[in-house]
Amino acid sequence: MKLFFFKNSKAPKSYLKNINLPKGALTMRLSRELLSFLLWRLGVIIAISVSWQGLAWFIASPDFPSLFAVINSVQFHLNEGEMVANIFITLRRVLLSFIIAMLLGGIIGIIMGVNTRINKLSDSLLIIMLNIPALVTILLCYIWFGLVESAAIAAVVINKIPTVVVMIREGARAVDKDLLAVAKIYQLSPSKTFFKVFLPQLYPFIIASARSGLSLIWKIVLVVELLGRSDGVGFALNTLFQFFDIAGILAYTLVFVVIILLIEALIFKPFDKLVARGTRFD
Amino acid sequence: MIELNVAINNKCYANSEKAVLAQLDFTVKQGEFVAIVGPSGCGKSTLLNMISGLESCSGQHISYNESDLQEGITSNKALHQLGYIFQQPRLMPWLTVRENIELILPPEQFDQIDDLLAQVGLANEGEYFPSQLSGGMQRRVSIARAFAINPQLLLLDEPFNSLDAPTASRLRQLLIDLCEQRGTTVVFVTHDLQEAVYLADRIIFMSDSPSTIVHQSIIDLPRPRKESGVSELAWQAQLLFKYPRLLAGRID
Repeated sequence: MKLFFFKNSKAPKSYLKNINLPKGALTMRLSRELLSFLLWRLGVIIAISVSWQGLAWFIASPDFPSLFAVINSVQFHLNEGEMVANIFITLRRVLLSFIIAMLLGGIIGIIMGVNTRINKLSDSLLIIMLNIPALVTILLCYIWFGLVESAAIAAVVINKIPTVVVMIREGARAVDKDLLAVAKIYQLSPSKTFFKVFLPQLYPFIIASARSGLSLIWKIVLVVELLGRSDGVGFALNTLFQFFDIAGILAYTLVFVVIILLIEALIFKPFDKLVARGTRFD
Repeated sequence: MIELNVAINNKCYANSEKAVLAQLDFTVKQGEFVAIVGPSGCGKSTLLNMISGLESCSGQHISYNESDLQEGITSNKALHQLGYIFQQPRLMPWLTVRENIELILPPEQFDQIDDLLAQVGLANEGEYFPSQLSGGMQRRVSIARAFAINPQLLLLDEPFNSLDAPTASRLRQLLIDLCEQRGTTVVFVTHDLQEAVYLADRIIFMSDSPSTIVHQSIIDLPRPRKESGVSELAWQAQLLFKYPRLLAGRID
């Protein structure tokens, strides 16, 4: 059966109405698209799993555990109970530092993007901050503030802020002055101007930095935990490393990656819709 | 007498020594429709920006309703009735048509939006986003937005440029109707003499930049006028016969 395909549903609704589609054809098309999308994903996952299993069988070394061994290890660590606790502790650190870094980085980025003088003054500092190795910040934070939770969070935040600032600053620079002129002419209040005219133009930049931020932050959090915390995924990985428990290391990685993917799907997808409002229709 | 007084002396472009407006002095009476015609680049948009307060210079004296507006009109919080229709519609792309108008209105005036949209022929398009509308429809939204605040003074910057002729002429008629209905004072910038003759009570001709006023004509043709009516075209021809280089900003 040939189905009509509107790649760009920008066409006004009246246009859709005029075409003789069998009732339910659009939903059928959607479900079919969704199905093929899911099948593709599933196919890729199965292909990776099969090649992993095959490679492990071929190499036959304890350094390269099979998928089944890893899944067994996940089960084992879940039953032991410490995995859930460690993951929650790490997630808490990730979310806390993520929120702080996005807020501070966003505010600094907007200020630097809007005010050229402040931008000139702090630009070189920003470049220095961008290029200080994550490890150095972590070590210095632990030395200066001690091996405490706040030092760990601060280390992650300091690592992340400069990249947020860079992206948000570009967004604030690219803000359409013509639209701000409209706000001025019609005498919108400062808060209305900021939230309804200025900020929506930054959404794509905020989302981009949040996306790249989450993946960077959870990687840094693991290093921070490995170096100076006695709980969390990073600490667990260090312990597993000392016992050469490769299946355990991969088990933790697998579970954590799945959780980050879930967060991505649950939190960022709705935000995506917000960003696409009025510009993309799909 | 409620009127707009404009006196501008030596306005330069931002970050430049080059003057764009040399000397401009004119008055617009209440309810008057004044068209400003001049060659491109003569600072017509700059003039509107200065009246609205988006731009300013030290040598300006602009007053409205006898209140001195050294910094332009929007700096005066008491005057909430300035409408500005830009060359581009300048709608917020992330807001629907209705939300774009709601943005500039206090909540107690939201109920008049339906009427307003019906007046500009967009009664069924309130929930659409600007990108789902044609260029002409977007202009109509920007006209509706400007009239939503019931402006005493309306500034228009070549709003019907790059529209097809029938759409432009429909929108001109709409503009005349709305202005007559509400007695709005209008300053309309254009480079199209025919459009100016059709719409305005008076035309101010500007010279090339750095610009001055080279000529003013009161259009004493009766209303309603026709865009290509015989008397309108004759009026235009007569003026251009007298000053053949008027549209280039010269009366020699």
